[in-house]
Amino acid sequence: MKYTVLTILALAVTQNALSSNYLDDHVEKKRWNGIDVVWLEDSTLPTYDISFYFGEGALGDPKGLEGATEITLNQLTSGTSKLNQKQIIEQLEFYGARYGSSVTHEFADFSVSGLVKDFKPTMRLVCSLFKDSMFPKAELDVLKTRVLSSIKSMVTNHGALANHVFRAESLRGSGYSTPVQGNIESLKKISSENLKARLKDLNRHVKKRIYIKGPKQVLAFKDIMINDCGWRGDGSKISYPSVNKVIENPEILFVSMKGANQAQVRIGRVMTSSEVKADRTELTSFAAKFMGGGFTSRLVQGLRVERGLTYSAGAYASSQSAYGRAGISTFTKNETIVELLTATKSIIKKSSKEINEELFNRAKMNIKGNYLLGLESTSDFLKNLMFYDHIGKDYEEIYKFSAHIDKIERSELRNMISDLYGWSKQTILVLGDPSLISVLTKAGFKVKEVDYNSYL
Amino acid sequence: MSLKFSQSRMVTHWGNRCILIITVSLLTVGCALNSTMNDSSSEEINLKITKKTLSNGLTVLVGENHKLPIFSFYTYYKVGGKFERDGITGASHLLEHMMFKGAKKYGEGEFDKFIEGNGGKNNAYTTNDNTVYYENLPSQHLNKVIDIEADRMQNLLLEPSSFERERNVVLEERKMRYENSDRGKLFLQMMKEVFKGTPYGTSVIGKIEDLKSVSRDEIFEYFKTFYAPNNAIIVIVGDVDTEDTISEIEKKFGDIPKSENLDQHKKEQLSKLGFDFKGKFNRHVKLKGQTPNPNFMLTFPAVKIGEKDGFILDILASIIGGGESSYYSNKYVLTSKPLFSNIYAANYTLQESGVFFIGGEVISGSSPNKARKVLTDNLSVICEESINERALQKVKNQYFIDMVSGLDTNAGVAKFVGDREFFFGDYRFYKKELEIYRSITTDELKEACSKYLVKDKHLFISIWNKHK
Repeated sequence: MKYTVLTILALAVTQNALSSNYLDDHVEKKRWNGIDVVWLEDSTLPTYDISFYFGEGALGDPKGLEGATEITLNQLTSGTSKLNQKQIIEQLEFYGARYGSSVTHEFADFSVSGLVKDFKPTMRLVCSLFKDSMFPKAELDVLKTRVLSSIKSMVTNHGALANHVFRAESLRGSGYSTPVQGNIESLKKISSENLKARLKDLNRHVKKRIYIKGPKQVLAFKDIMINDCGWRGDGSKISYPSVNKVIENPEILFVSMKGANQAQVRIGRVMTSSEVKADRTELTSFAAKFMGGGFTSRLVQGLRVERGLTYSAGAYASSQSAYGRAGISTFTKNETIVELLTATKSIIKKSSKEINEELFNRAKMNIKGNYLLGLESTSDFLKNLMFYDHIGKDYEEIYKFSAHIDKIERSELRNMISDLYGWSKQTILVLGDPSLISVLTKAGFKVKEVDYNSYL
Repeated sequence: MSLKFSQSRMVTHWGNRCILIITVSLLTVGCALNSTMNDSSSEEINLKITKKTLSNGLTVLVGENHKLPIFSFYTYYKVGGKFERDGITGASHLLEHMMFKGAKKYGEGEFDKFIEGNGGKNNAYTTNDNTVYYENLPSQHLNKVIDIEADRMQNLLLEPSSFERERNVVLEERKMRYENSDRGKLFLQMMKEVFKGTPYGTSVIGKIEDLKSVSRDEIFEYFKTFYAPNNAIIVIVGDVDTEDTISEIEKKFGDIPKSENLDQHKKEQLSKLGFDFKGKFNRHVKLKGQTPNPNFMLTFPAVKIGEKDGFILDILASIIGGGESSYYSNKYVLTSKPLFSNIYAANYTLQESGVFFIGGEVISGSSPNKARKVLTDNLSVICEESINERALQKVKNQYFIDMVSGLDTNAGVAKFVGDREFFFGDYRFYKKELEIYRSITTDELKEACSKYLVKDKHLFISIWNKHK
């Protein structure tokens, strides 16, 4: 079944022929105990995927307890009144189940996958975790020690550290700047009681949806959900705070890392709520792809192929329902930091002014084809449906992606590149050896040093 | 089975778990829902693949999957880091980069333009044993991809200015993956120490001095020697017609000459050093790093891919260090006084040799010396404590689901088939693999555990900002 759905999608991509009403035949929407359920029937493999969507993510963390939602879902396996952590994990892994959570500011999900033959006992166990998790202090303390240890170790991964500081700075004042994982201070404060309260919230008050992929046997979850999870459809979705302006950072923010032999560069900005509501997803995705998605993108060609300045250069533009982020990520050796920044600026400027037809058409084909390939796996397809529901987009839009891309004019793309990546609007961060400060200053850049410790 | 790689025109790294990934396919799955991995009668896996070897030695494998109008095209070259002599370390990987820089018919940039301009994706990776290129595209472009691959197999340009730029790109890649990454450094040092004096003792990414000095002509010579039909496997899976595909491959690749005396040359190259372990064991190698929490690898000499003990060690690695419910995780991580913030075990099998390792991060406040002592003092204990029927069955169940989960894409099937053909000379070897894994007993695990996890043969490598 799934492949028939996707075949039509593929034809839509490769031949620009759209299908209609196709999802209606293959994706079934249900309502169990007042909770919306999306079932993607798939009998090709003896496996299932199930995701529980919660319409409130890290924004629901109590003040001062940032990271609570993520730890709540992460620690569901830490113990119930009947089973301890080792028993729970051993049982899940014995079934071969893969499980995990993902938390954004706006929403969270908990996903499980496994063999259909073990679906019922696995899901009963999972429901018991939602209903009865005790978050024992001993296990929570161990987790805290591990998380704090890994935060401190971030210093060894320059790319990750650059991302971390850049995120905070480019989103400063937006309501979304604190990482969903929380920080050292907030993690220290989180208690078992906080986690129980947060879980109660998620169970009782937060809007839920359920997404299931698998054969008919997975519909057995209806009874399990009602009897074992005890979920009802009376949750509500919070309204997400608006982002009304782009933060201005006139200086290059510099993170000193003594001895680093490579400079990490992050350039980007927040996308405001009005930009996101304008629903130009296809155009913003296209702009990001054109600039830094694939080997023929402008940044990879300009920085790597033509100049040999870097191994990797990428651009992104992604959004949730109330805010988004657009940016560029790359690095270079210390000696060529000025050349890299100058070249990047020049590539953005040039692409904002002039795009030839050949490049334009090739990039269109590229994004359309990649969109299709990205949906080859049904698990990924299911996640797409969940995200579309979150941002309030109709599933039919999946099939219209290609047509939306086709309609984009070159001038629109140029304008969007200018809008998203225009140099004056960007927060720019460089992480590297302190000696680069004077190099950048001499080259005419204004530099402000920031201490990464204050972001951990 | 330890078939590990990372992505993006790059060199291999390792994962923390060795998993049998058998792709029940697209192609045919006969897997009863109530089956387990031990119940062989209900798990018939039959890949419908057509194999043909051309007169010039090129092996071609084709699997049809008409569920989507797309295909995956994998090309395996049987050359990797182990064939590099002193002075040209990193040649296989640098050559991999240059394979995207143009050939006679499709010049510089044409390859990427074609693939991406038609909605496709492509990339490549290099390991100690092989170099693999892959493309995913809509089906109507199959013949063009065949033409492009045939062109670059025989007519690579290796244009000098492009070569110089790419040299810089690889040097930056090296910094990113290894010089600026404590874990990367640790892995490089582990390979260097464990496989000292063997062809696996040099890094796939190459020494800095070699990368700076290797000439275009040396790389060209390397290319002419190793990039030939009798040193390659092509795997195509997707919405293709087998007969037409093989016919087109014969048309485009059939006239490419063999690399003469290649087998003899490879044999001589590898036999110069041999693969016997020559490193010194029972010691602690300390690396100066940036991490405030020590990272470590505890290694033991193991076996090459395909040996029965290798399969047993795969399972042993999963029992002691695969997943949160593993023996080590229970004992040292999920405990009231953890010694490690994470710990894993892996059996890394290469074509000619192998290493079993336990790795992880020591918890803040403890030290690598303590970690070494605890782990090595308890080696004999784990053979008794960790291995039992339940743990064995759990790992078998996990292997089975990992195997099934890999079925979703053409690329997954193509890689699965290609890996078996490359390592075992027969893509159908998965049947044998499955049989072997099913047959493994707790007694065999205990025996292998006592045989390989021996204190006198351990090598402990740690990286920490407190090391000098």
